Amino acid sequence: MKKLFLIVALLTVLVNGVSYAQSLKEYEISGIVMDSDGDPVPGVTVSVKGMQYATITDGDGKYVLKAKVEGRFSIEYTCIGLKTVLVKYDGNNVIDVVMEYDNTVLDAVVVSARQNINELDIRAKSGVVQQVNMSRIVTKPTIDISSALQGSVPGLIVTNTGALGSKPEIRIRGNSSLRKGSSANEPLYVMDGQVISSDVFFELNPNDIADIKVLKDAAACALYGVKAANGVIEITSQRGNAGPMSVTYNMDMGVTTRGRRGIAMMNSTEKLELERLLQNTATPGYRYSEDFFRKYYPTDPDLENMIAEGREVLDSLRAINTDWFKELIRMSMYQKHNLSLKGGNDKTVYYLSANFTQQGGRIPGNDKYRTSMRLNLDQKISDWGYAMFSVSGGYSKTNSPIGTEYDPTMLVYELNPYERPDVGELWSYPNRTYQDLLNQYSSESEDKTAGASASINLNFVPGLDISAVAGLDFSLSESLNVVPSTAYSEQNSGVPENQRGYLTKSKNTSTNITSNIRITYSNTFNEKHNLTVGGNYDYYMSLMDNVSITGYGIGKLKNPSAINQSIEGNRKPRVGSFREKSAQMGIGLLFGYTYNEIYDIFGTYKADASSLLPQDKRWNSAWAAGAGWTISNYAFLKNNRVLTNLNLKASYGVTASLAGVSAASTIGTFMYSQNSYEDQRLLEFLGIYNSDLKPEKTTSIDVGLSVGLFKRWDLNLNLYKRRTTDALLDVPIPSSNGYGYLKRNIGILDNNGIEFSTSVRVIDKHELYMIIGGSIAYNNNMVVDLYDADRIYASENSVIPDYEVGKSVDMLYGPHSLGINPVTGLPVFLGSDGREIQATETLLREDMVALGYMVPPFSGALNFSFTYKSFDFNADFYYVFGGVKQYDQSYVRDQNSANKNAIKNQISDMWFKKGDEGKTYHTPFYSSAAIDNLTLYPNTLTVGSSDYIKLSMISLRYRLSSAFLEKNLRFIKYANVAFQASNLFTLSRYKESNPEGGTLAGSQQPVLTINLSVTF
Amino acid sequence: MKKSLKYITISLFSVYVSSCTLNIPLENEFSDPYAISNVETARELLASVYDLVPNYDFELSVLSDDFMPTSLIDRDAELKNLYQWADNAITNFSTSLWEEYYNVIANANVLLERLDDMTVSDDKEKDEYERIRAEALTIKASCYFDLLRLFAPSFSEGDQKDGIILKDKLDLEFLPRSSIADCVTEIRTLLSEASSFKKAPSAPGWHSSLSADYLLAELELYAGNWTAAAEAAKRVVDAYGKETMEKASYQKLWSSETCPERIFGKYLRDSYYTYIQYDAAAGDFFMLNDDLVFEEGDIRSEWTVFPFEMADNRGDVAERKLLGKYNKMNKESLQIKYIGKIRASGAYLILAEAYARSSGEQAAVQILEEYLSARGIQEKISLSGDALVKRILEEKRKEFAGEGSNYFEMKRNRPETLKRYSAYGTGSSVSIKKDDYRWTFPIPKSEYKYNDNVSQNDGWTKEVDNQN
Repeated sequence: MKKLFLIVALLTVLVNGVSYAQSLKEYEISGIVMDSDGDPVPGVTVSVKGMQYATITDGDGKYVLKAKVEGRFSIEYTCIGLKTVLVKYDGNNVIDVVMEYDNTVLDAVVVSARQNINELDIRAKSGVVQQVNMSRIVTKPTIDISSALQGSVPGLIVTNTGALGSKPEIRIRGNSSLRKGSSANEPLYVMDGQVISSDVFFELNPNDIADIKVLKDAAACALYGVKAANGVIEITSQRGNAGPMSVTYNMDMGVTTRGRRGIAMMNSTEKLELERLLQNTATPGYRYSEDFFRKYYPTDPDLENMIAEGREVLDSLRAINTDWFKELIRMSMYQKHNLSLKGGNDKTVYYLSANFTQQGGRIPGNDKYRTSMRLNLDQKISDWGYAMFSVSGGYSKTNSPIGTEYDPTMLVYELNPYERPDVGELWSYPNRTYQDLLNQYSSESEDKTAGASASINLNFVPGLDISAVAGLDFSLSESLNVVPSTAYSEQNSGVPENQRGYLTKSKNTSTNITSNIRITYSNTFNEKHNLTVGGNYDYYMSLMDNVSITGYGIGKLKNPSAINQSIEGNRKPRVGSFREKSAQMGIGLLFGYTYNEIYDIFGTYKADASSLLPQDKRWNSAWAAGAGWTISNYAFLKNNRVLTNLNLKASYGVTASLAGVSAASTIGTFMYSQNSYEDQRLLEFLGIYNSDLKPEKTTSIDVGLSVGLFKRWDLNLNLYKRRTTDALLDVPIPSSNGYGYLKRNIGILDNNGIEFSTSVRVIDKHELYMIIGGSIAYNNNMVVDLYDADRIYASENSVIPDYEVGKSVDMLYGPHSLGINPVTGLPVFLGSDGREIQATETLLREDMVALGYMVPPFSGALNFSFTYKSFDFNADFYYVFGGVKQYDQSYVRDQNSANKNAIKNQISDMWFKKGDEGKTYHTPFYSSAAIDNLTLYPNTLTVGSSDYIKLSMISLRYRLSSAFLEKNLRFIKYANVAFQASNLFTLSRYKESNPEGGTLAGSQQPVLTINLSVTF
Repeated sequence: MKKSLKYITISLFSVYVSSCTLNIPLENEFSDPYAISNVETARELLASVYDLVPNYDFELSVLSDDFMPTSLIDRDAELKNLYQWADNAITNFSTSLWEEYYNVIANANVLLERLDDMTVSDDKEKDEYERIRAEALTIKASCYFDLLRLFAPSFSEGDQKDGIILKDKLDLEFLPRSSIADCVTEIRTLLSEASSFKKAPSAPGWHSSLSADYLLAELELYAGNWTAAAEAAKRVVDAYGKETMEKASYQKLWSSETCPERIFGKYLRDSYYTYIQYDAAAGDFFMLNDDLVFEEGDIRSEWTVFPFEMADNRGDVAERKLLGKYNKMNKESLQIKYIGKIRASGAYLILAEAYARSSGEQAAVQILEEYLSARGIQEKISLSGDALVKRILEEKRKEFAGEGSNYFEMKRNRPETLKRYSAYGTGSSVSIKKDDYRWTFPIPKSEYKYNDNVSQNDGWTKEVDNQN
């Protein structure tokens, strides 16, 4: 018995001892948190429920949670906007979690903060709302978020147009207006519920953005009313999350390289030979050739000597071979530093960030840098509300030597290989040295922005949500454009020395105030019927105030104080100003109903008014209706392993828009100019107006299908048809009316397209993970009707109508070229009747054929992600096809321009004498009228396919293991190192440098960086 | 707590809604109906109409026989083409003229339409109102008149031929051309109405009844109504008198000072007449025609001829008679404030011609002698008939050399041939015949391409869209 007791006692002690040891067990649990789309979710608080052990997922959604826990426990995953997930620990130390977006109606107890009060989930069920994968955007080393968006969502077309620091053109699903340009076709940008300008968007720090949604169809956009006629880009900023403070430092350091060379130019030997053939006495190749001396000094006794001397000069020139591409286009620096703090408790969370980015452009004098700061604070108010505050500020500066009349990039194609940057006068620019070509113009622009916004979400009654947002955005843009007195144009302007050199300095402030109040009631009845009704009222006010001064006689100084104010006449100092205050008001209603999560219907109406329009045309409206059918939510398909998602949706909407129309277009309007007549100011009439102007009306139909297979393969298909009736256009009118154009409602434009995207998780193991995705978008437009005509010529000189019924607006027309006539050396074209049209004949309308689309109809992206253990590899390609761009061809030289460098092989491709067959370029000796047909229109030989595929982003990342960090760098929670690059190469059949923008000068510079990211 | 918050929210909301307004007047722009509501704003709009009137005096002089090209002409192909009367150059030039003149007319119509709706309270305002209206009518008439002389055949070729488009309102219209006779009638009506407001202007940049009379005299001369021309010109001559044309006054014409001879001068704020110069050091593209010879003592000489050393193609330097006037002012950095084309001397010469042609030869000789003596030439004129008219026209050519108006005179009194020279000293290349189609400018494409009702002038093409 005693023995037994002892055994029992011993066992008890043992068991107790064991159980005591168990209760203090240390755990290290890791995994990835993803959303239902399979994208990693950063910033999720992972904690042991009921205890203080917690961590936050990193940028890739990964986490490592360490805890000393007693007995059984659960792990909680929480994040604003996502449904909280609770996982019971079952002994497996790797826990991957999928979190779903919190789409359910919030009851009074759980209040969630909604940053953008217009971002109602109900609209996404029947409308097309697509999310940009922010982790890929952040990975791309580029200073501008706009450029980074290229390829992120099918149908969002981003076209880079110029040098670093110039805003790219952004369109959603092409142009729905006949009018070209951004004011009529640009999407609406909304950040955290606040309408922002494209300039503010352009200056945003990508690291501050949690997500970007692209709203494409009427059902998704209609909440924003008439402003959203061209789609919406919704931006949500990073917020904090409950948990201990985490500090993340992210750094990119790298270089920018020169980019695509495009055209190969001649070397010195070839160029000098071309000059000899072109016989321009202002070129050394002819001036020092034997030909020249024999022609001009045939009887000179010193002839042989002259020839020998000439040969020497040529030999010395041949020895020089300057690569002006390398000389002018430079490699530069790229750096980015981002520091962010996040943290908070269940009542208050905060996010604080600071950023510095710098990128050097391709040519000296072109660079951009930006610093920005942001503080976001979310405060829970009791148990029935949430308040959110944001404060942000930024400063950016762009320098550029590229003016409207002057682009040093073009010198790459003009300076001769036998010329040198450091010595002597240039043959290509007589009387000027290389230094006289640089520093001709400089432009500095600075943007200082500050913004503050506050929003509240209140839930007094279950299901009733009252939210309001108010924000103020302020930006001060300053620019200074200088042409120094030393510039060639000033030196030769003929004005006195003390009047040379001029500058324009302008300051432009813009203040925007946004406010929006929204009341939404949403409730679920009998667990199956979900009803949402709501309404909103919004008001936007914007104030623009601009002052500018232009003054002359500044010499080399870049300061307005240097202006010579004694100058009279047309170089007199000038002051300009502009001030405009405008407001927009809107009232909206919405209705949504969901049955059993299977059927959705959604309708919305919004009426908007703008103070810029005359009173009788002020109010315009937009309405939309949509329906969704989620077949996979039927009971018989629930938990089906093959078909995991099947959703069909359709929407219809009508938007009336007067975007880009000002009062002056509809009513007689006058403005003071800077000038005077006698002692009077000039009150100038702004132009002929059309009092019958109506808003253009866009009707859009959208059908979408989403399929999910095996929980790892997603397919999305969207078809849309947009019709713009009463389309507005500045139509040419007889000039006896005193004006060339009048804005009129002129016709009907169709804009149709298909978008498809897919993504497959090819491999999905814990340490091996591969996703392949891709998208393609097709957009096509056609003029359906032009009310009083079949065709419109935008200019009296166009032979081909710019708008024609049954034709696309983007089509480029020109004659079919038959090349160069071997007898005359002049271009020959194919006539409509099949005969040859010689250079001296005039081409007619019928002789023109469609050469291709100016805007490529197809665009898309390919994405690849591969993760193996601690390595991540990502690559994004962007491609477009189906379009053409006209070649510049200014690098083909004739006799008059022989002093500038020419394209390689011009000698063999150019017609020089009778019988030269199969040549590309016409004779260099011609009268200008003989090549009118060539210069006035593009033709089949002067356009090239602008198809290209670009490696827009590549990144290889290594995550330092937690064991390593634990051992060596205990204070660091996570650390990554990566190689990241953007725009590494472009493959294209296009012969010049830039198939994207079509300009000879510009192409995007590749950026290669090393990235380091550390979280403390 | 909850309840009070609700009330606060609701009341804040209503304050917020009611505080938002859309009636924000534009601070920079002024729209109808309040924009042009008083005489002050009407005057400012009128100032902008004046400012729009195009100045192509140099280009018109190039087309006339005022100039001969220097060796520098090869440096500017466009200018050379214009001088040679190349179709293309005339087409381009005529397009600018047509568009700019009709732009002025449209703006004048905008003002006249606003004036119709304006009410004035006191006499002072009424006075200013009438004055503005008269000035607007004068500008409109002068634009019509220039257009008519440029784009229609001469009056003598048939007054039922197509003239120009008469535009009465701003609205979009697709109008045909009215006959020359109708155009003359319309211009006469406008000028007669303008001339009835008799009060003197406050500055030379504003039109007056006398500048309207001057234009009326020119119009009647154009239409061959010698008596009417004489009547109108007489009104001007009587108002100005001989002494306004004497040396002291004449010199002031080429300065920014007030000049008694100036009837109306377009106020300038931009550079003017700079295109004649190639380079300050190298010289001008054109020089005065060799046959413009000024006698000893002729005060016009000093301001018309600007001797300048210029190199020819071979590099030999010689003195060239460049144009003085505004060109001289530019070269000497003098500020040009007014273009004084409408001046007393013009009225004298119109009156002389009108008398000479209507058998008032004695009176014509007297007027001409008065003019000449004021200009420093004491000469007894013993001419009559065509010879007298020819002499008057020759004096007019000298008076207005380089000021553009000689082109109109040549078009009215066609020379048998108009010689076009190559670079100075190398002879004549082509000559333009009396009946050349280019004497009448082509209706520009920007008109006929969009206006099916408009006709083209003989000899010029009207490319039509062959699928229409």
